[in-house]
Amino acid sequence: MFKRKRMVLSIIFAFILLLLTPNTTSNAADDIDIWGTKQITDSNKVWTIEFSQPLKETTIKKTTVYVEDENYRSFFTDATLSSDKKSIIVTPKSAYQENKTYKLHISKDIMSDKGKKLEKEIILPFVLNKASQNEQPPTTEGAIKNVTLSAQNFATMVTVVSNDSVNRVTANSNEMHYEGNNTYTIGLTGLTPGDNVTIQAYELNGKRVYSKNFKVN
Amino acid sequence: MRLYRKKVKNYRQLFVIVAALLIISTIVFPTKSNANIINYPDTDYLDVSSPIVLEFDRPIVWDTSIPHYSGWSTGTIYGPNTAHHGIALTEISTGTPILVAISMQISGKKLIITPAPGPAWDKNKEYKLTITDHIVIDSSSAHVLPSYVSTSTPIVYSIGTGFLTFKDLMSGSSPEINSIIQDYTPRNIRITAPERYIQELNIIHKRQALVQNSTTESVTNLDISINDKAHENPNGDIKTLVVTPKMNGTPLQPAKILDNLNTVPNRGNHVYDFGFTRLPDTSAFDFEVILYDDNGDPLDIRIVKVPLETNTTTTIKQRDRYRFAYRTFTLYDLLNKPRDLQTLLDENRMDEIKVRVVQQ
Repeated sequence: MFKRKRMVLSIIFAFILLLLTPNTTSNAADDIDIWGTKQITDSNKVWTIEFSQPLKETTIKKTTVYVEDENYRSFFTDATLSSDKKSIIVTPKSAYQENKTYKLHISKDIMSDKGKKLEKEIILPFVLNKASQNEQPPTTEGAIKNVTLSAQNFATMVTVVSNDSVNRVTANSNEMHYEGNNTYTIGLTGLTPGDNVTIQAYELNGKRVYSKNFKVN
Repeated sequence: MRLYRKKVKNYRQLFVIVAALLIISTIVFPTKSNANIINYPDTDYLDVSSPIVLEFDRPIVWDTSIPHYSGWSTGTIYGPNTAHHGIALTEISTGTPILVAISMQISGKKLIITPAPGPAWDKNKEYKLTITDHIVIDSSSAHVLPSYVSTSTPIVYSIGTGFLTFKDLMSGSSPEINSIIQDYTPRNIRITAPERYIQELNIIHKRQALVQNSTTESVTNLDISINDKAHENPNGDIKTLVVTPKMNGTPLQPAKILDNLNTVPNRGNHVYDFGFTRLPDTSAFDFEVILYDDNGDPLDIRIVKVPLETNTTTTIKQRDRYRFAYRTFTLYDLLNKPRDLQTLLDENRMDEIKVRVVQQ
């Protein structure tokens, strides 16, 4: 009887100990800096995150800088360092979807050139909201010199000629192929006469310098 | 009147004799036929995975009176190309039957000839199929091939295993699709994305700068990461890597060439680096990177722009992903799934996508 009482007491004691054990996941929040949700209008938004010190290039990789979608699935991006190594440039490999929330993660494992780690992981949530896209159309005079839309069987051939500063061009959010000599092309399917094709151009630093709609004839 | 009746009688006798002779001739010489070949190889773009098909307007069987085909009623005959009687596949450039195993099969109205793939029956070559005997006949033993077919007057079909580009197929004032669709259904038109070998390109372009009252030269470094393991040829088939800096489509400097890469041991990822000086500082320029196979045909091409920037140093890292590299679709697949067609066009230029046909 006494032996049984001791066993019950020890079970209760173990349970109390379990309750008192610190919950590590709740404490993890202290290591994360979650920024306010940003509204973006560009489905190919290139994020540039500036730091006060130059960063160590080898610490910028898929596991330290990445974007995930609402379902915590990884979204393909390219993360590179700027020329001065003080900015991380995150370029999407495909277009973000409208009204979905994405999170850009910057792990605290990235280091400065001097080997100093980031104090907290940064999470930047963002939502693509195209509705306000036309409110602030960015344009740099002469960024795009010529745009041609040519309807072919099964696809509309889009050809764009840029100036020397443009680094990438999209047509309806599809990355165009660089053909050389400032010329970009792509075939777009499913377009009919009267449909819009939005041409957007970006500089190497991710700045959008051109956005304009063209109609398919 | 009597004379008239006699004439009629003579004509009637003559008619009976002629008719009898005709009936006898059709029994003794069963070679007359109104058979037609309704489908035959007539293309420059045959996929080497496709059999060569002759389709007749009636069911056919092997002519078992020819010793080579005795014992076969229908079914498949295997053997070296050179051993088959009355039929041979020849590469036009050599003029001799190619040394390849061939299976020949009869299926209803079709004679299906399937060469084994390999160096002898390969892409981008020209062949001819020569038939010198009536190897197949119809169920009443009548000939189905043209009656003149013999060793001295063979029937010859020209077959090319080249390709069209998707751009040729779809664009221009007279796109090829208009003629191809006459002979091949969308399911028989095959569209293949190119193999991709170049994994990543990294460029650092350091512009001229004024350092202690003297001007430094611009210096440019280009790293090219290549995976030389190919889907089709795991032993690798890249022979030459050519890098040319260009502006306005014109080379700025002589191309830098790395040759005999196919002798590099250990297939897999390799990084090749190149250095340049005196490339433009005040305008954009391009790097054109081309990989060639040992026939001198381009395998993978990438053109990267070094844009004009105000920064002293421009850094470019280009890493492309290809979901559909070396994947083949039928035109039917792409019409049925426009998203796949768009992905194909997103990943490849129209003139990089190869189009071939199959006969079945």
